[in-house]
Amino acid sequence: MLRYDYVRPASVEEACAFLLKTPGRSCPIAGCTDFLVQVREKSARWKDLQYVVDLSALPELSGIRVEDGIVHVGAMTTHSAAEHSPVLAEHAPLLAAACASVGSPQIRNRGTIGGAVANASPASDPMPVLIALEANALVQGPNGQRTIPMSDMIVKPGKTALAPDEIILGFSFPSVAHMRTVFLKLGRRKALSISRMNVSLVVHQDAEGVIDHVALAPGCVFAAPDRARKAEALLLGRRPDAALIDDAAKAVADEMIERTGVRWSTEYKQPVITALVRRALENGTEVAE
Amino acid sequence: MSLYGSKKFEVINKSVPRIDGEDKVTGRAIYAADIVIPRMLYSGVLRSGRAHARVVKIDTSKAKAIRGVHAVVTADDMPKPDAWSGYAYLTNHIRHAGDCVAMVAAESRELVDDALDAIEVEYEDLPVMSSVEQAFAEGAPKIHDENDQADNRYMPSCFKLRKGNVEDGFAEADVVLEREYSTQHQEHGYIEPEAAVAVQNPADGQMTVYASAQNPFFTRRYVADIIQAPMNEVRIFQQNIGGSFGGKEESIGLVAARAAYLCKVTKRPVKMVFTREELMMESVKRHPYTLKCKIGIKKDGTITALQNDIYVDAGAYNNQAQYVNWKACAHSSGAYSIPNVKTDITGVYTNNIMGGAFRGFGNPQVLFALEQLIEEAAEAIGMEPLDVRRRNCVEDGKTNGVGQVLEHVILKEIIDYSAEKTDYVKKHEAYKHQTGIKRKGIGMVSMMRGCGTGCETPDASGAMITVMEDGSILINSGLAENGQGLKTAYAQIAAEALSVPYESIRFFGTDTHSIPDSGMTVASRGTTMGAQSMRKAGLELREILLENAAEIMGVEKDAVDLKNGIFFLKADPSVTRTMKDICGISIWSGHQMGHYSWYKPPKDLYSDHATGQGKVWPQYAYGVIIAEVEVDTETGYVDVKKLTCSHDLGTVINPALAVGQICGGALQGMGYGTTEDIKYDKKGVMKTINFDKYIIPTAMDIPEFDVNLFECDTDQGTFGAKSIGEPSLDGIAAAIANAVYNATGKRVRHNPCSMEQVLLGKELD
Repeated sequence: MLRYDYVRPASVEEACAFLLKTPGRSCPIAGCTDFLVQVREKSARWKDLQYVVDLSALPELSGIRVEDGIVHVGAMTTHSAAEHSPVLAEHAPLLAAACASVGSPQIRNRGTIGGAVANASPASDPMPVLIALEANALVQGPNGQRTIPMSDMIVKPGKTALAPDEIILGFSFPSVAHMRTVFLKLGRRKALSISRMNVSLVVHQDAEGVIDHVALAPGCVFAAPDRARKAEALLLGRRPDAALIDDAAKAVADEMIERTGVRWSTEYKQPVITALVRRALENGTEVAE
Repeated sequence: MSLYGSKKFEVINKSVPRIDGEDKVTGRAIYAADIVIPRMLYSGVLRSGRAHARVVKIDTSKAKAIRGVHAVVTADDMPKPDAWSGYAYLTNHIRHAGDCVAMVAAESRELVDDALDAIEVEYEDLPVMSSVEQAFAEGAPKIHDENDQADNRYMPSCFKLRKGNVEDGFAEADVVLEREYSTQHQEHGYIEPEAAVAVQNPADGQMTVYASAQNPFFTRRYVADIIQAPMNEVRIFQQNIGGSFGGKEESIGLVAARAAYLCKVTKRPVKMVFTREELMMESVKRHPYTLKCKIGIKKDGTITALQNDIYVDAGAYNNQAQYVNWKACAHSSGAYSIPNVKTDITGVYTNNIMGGAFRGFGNPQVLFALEQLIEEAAEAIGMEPLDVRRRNCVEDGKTNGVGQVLEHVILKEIIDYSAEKTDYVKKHEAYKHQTGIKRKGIGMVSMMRGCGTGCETPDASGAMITVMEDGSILINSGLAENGQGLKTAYAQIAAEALSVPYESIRFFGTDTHSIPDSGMTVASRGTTMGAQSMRKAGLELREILLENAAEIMGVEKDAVDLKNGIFFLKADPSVTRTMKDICGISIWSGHQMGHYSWYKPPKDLYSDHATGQGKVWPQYAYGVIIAEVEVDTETGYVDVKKLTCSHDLGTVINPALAVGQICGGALQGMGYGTTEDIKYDKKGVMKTINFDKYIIPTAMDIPEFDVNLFECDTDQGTFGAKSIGEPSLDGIAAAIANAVYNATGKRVRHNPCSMEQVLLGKELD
């Protein structure tokens, strides 16, 4: 059985200093809803673990606020807090929706957005949303702060772009209050369900109905959550109609096969992601008659 | 109309609060895993993680050297590593991935884990047979060396049903259809994993085990077996059960036995608690069936013949396929009176998890096939399935599959009532013509089920009632509370028989030292048959109490009566004595205040082994399920919107508990029909070992329920009661599959209606 010590730093600096001192042997923890499961399963990821570094007492990591049109979400924001946030309801309702679909009430009360990102699960619900929002993560290490675009955050399943001595302070992205957004999730049951696939969409049409902004991030489709650039390119600058939406939806499935090859699950995923993207676009756009 | 509500009783037939309800909903109830005894050790087992292998070498020296580790035991260390039931406490021949090669007792759970990690095992892998096709082959490697069959068949699980002559029946038919259906393993999914705490009295040697045992007497066999002690030295205290559904028989036997063995070896109390992953890997599952079916039907809707060839994945060990298959065989023509029926059922050992007892016991599998086959046949002759069901369903004076002439059959009434209430016929036709992405479907199942064990074993039981000097009453039974409400139902039945208030009775659960073994709490027998002894004891004790009262009141016995706990003179009801009055005097005057009674069922039941024909159950419970679904035709997701569950309960003992049983069983059936599926990797090792991958319905998935309780005039069960625990689940998956077909026009012949099955017609992994 894995035995490790518990450390609760009083500041972000102290946390980073401790991580620097114990490379590969410590893990920053938030809600532990993923971490403790992995420890219990004796995941190879934690075979050298000696310390858990509890970030829950750090005030810099909490809170949701909007300033000059930029939304800031603290890394320690729980899924429940995001789900019920009036700020997110107005400025990024799809993030609230994605967080509301995570796990069970108990998991949402403990689990945090920062923790979900750091865990780098390929089936994450908030992760594709943050990518569709073009969010940046603000991270701090021993040498100060830097930002990482969320599209670059996940290197591969289970691995982030964070250095071992860096922690996520929070996420920021422009408000999408003036845009249409959609979060769709397909699971095997209505609650406590890991996404079979999900779709995050942020889209805007000008006065003529022409799409002048689109970010489409399907989840559980590529090796790591990412935008479906080919479909976005089809949509941008066009007035959506049924044919265009079908083409864009097919483009996501095509890009999936192009990027991940044909796998055991492709026979199911190909038609279904096409349908889900089509639904997201139908819900998220004003379609020309 | 036979809807619940027209019978007259004092205590039963009413919704009284559960005896254990408040403890459970407030979290006060104590479960076996909560028990802590001074000096108690923790324990655990080492599982092979291989589907078929032999232990070549096992080295426990490093584990034994860990300070705080008190015992490390392998199969070679034990006088009897094989259990009486054919299972293994520990083994060197790994037959499935959950098999155990060693066990450990230590001062803490952490040390147990360290010790298990420190055991070094060298295995020799053997060919893995993860399907019936692979195992059921002449010359296939033997899973059990002692099995005298060359093809891994388990002969005691092979049965036949022969009624009429199917060849004549098929010749008579206008249409003959052949179809193959199959079903998957299902896990019970109880909240509470198996747990046991064993403690041995150092003076007299008595081994006491506190256990989450469905059947404490059954668990006692395992404990006595492993420590090779006489049964009278083994005491099982059944604890509150966090769900069982048939599951806590074999697995809890193994857990209790292993804990007892380690307790004996270490001379310390020992606790053993399964993790979820362990119970997924070692607790039995519902047997997967492959059913090759053939049906003959005339153009007027008359079914002339039915043939079933059923192959059963019995898994690595076997103590239940012989019973499950017998019951499935006996029910293989469902609720239809078909003149010619031929069924053959064959269980085969494989390297998969063992099949075992699970609410439904063969019937859900049979109904999944038969109730779809009936619809396929109806469609082939262009008839509404409801009409085929009505035309062929069992009725008074007709025979079922086992050739038993039936009486008090209210099935047609239940079919008509349920169809009308759901507007089934109109919806069923209209839904065939939908074109949208999300399509509605409605599906029906009609069914019957023998109540209790029938010919399988005599449905006998014992019960004891004791009256205290203050008038309070204690009841005790050889059958056990499993969460289904047995304590409450038994208290109501005892109160009804005794003519006392329900509130004056307590029932604290089963201690094997306190009462004789009354058979297992299985087969939906608890209320309908198991409580017969409680009723009998109550009626007999009532006579004794009347005698006591008469003597104390100075009158003849027939001058006194008892109602609602008050004795009174028939001639002058104003002259009364309370229970406390009478019992307070009885205790000091040598009057009998307790009574034990045994119920033995009538001996007129029989079943012919060669044909399966006979009078097999004293009575049958009838029911109709109507499922309404919405299918997403682009994702294959089946949203079960409404389940209409109409059941004949004979006499409803407690309507609130009955509705609870029905909804719970239906939900478990819904999981079976939609998402629940045990999956294995390429090496035959189970992958779905926790609830992230093994998908059971959540509270959010619960559909709308419409439960309709029917009663009838039968006098066979306790106060006329029938079974409900299993009928509640039996037909749900089949009804959902029929509803999915109604919505999509595609038959799902392999359970469950998962997203992949519905969209692609197959599973992907």
